[in-house]
Amino acid sequence: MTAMYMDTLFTAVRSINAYALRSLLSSLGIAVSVGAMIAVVSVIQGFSSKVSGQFEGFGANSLTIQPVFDYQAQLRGKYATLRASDLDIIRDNVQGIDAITPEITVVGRYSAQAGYQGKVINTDVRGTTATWKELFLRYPDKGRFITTADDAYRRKVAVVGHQVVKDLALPDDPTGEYLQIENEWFRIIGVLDKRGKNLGMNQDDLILIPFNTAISLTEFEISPSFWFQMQVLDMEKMQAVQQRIRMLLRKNHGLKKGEEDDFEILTADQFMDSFKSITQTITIVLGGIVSISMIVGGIGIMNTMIMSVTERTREIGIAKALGAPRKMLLLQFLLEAVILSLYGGVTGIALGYVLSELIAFFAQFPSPVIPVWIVLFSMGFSVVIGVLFGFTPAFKAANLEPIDALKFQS
Amino acid sequence: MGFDITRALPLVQLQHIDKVYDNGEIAQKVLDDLSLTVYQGEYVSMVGPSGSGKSTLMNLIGCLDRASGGAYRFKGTDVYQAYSQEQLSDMRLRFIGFIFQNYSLFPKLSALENVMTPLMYNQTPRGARKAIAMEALERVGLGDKARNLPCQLSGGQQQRVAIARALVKKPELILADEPTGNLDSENSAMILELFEQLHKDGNSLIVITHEDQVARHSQRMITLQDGRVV
Ligand SMILES: Nc1ncnc2c1ncn2[C@@H]1O[C@H](COP(=O)(O)OP(=O)(O)OP(=O)(O)O)[C@@H](O)[C@H]1O
Ligand SMILES: [Mg+2]
Repeated sequence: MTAMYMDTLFTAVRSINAYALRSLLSSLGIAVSVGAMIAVVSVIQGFSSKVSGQFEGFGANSLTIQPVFDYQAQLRGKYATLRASDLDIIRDNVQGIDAITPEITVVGRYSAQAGYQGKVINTDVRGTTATWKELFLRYPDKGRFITTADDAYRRKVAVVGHQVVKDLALPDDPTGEYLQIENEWFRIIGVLDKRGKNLGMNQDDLILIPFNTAISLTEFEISPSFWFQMQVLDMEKMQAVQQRIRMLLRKNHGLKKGEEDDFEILTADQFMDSFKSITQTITIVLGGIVSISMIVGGIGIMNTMIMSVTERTREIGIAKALGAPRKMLLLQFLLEAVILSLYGGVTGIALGYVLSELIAFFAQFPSPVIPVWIVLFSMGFSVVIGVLFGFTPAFKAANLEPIDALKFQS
Repeated sequence: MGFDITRALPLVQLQHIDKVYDNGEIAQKVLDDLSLTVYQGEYVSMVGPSGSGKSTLMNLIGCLDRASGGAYRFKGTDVYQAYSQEQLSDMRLRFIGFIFQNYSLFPKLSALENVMTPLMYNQTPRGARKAIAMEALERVGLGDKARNLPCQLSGGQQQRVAIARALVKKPELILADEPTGNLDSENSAMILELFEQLHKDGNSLIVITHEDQVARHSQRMITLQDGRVV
């Protein structure tokens, strides 16, 4: 019995090989669908594993408070913001938190100008406080970090990242040198440890200055790019702390009952959750698109198979005259469809792999990860499509009357 | 081993067979109340004018087609009563070897692979197939062409491959529809000699032909005219 299946398999493979070009073309639809799916999923997975890795280091007990970006309101010129007073209120009224750290981006959200000896670069300048280093677990390589005194006296001092040292061609140990940020002179007091790139963002392309200095530098005291983070000492109290902060901020922002929060309180978990839900949505939408294109691919295979059955009607007639078992003919044509489809699936996986590497390379994304499940899913889906769309042609072949098949004139 | 009609058993028994082709507009009675018996080990030739129903009759005997009326017994079994479509197929596989007028080889398979197909259908153990098929090919004098595709063979060689393929499963009945129709006299002679050999070996043969020379080789000549044996 198994011998019969082996024979049938061989026969199916042979006749696919006999029409290699046509087989290749007819499986192209499946190959492209699977390729696209693999590429997108593995790029997303690449991001996903990188992000997860990040949050593990970041700590589950941290809280982030940031303004809600309501684009509708922004269009009307209304920016939701946090205020410097929010920080004080939380510090003074919430128990069980530590290392509450503000961050403010100086001028523009992403870049500010910094210069040294005639060289000028755009970089990310942020104002923050001494606790930043504990929150992010980043410490200076050389020199020292911003202190509470630096902040209190609005000292014009800066801690720079390695990329800044390189781009401004600062000396190897730049402490004591002066650089210019937005037309003000800052003394370099330290160099941050090296982190490299993460999610396409260079973690070393950064200058930190004292928070209050930054506020005085930024003409507007409240900025949409102002947020703060803190650590909750007792994980059990996470919920309670969040509620307390929410109440305090609503009061400070003068929000009435029924008005929505103009800020959000995020935990590392929530970051992960929202990231996961984004990737999940993408995956589902993608799954839908791929299913449709797989079905189109399957129709392509069915078309080829029907053509091939018609073309081979006389051969089928001869096989029937020789006494070929119906089951064998049915299986042979079904297998041909499945193999074509699988062939497309495997080509698609290879295609997807190459594509994802190319995308990651040119877009500078984290290196893609191809999960085993998507490979198995692609293969499984290909088989299902092959069976589904191979049935009609296979039955057509197996149910031909021997005499009609023999007398068939193409 | 010669043929002794007193000892032989009926192999093919056709009783009052009608065959009507009805294409919706005109119904044509191609076989009309035809009765015929062929015994085991017989070598029968079938002649008759074109359109007299020879091929139609052969297709009925080979169970490729069904009669519109009458009964057909093969080795004593009423095939229309007893056999399903799949059993008919199995019967063809076990007992009948076809040789068609136009070469009927699988175009993408080599001569040897063509001869091996019936062995695959009847599940001869894989290891034994090649040797058996090779033997059949050698028997028709084509041992050296085993690897050739049909398109790399002459018409006569193709027909000999088809004969090897019909022989390879050692069928009880060989049905040949104008096997030499497209061949020159030399190739024809070779094939007729083969038939003679098969007959001597105890096979039954029914050979359709319109050539006297072919018919003369057989033991019995059946003449068809307007769907009847005359
Ligand atoms: N499928 C069919 N539908 C309708 N009529 C058919 C069909 N097949 C055969 N016929 C008719 O049946 C008759 C007998 O055909 P058949 O092929 O049996 O003749 P034949 O004796 O083999 O002739 P030849 O010597 O030319 O091969 C012919 O008149 C033919 O037109
Ligand atoms: Mg004929």
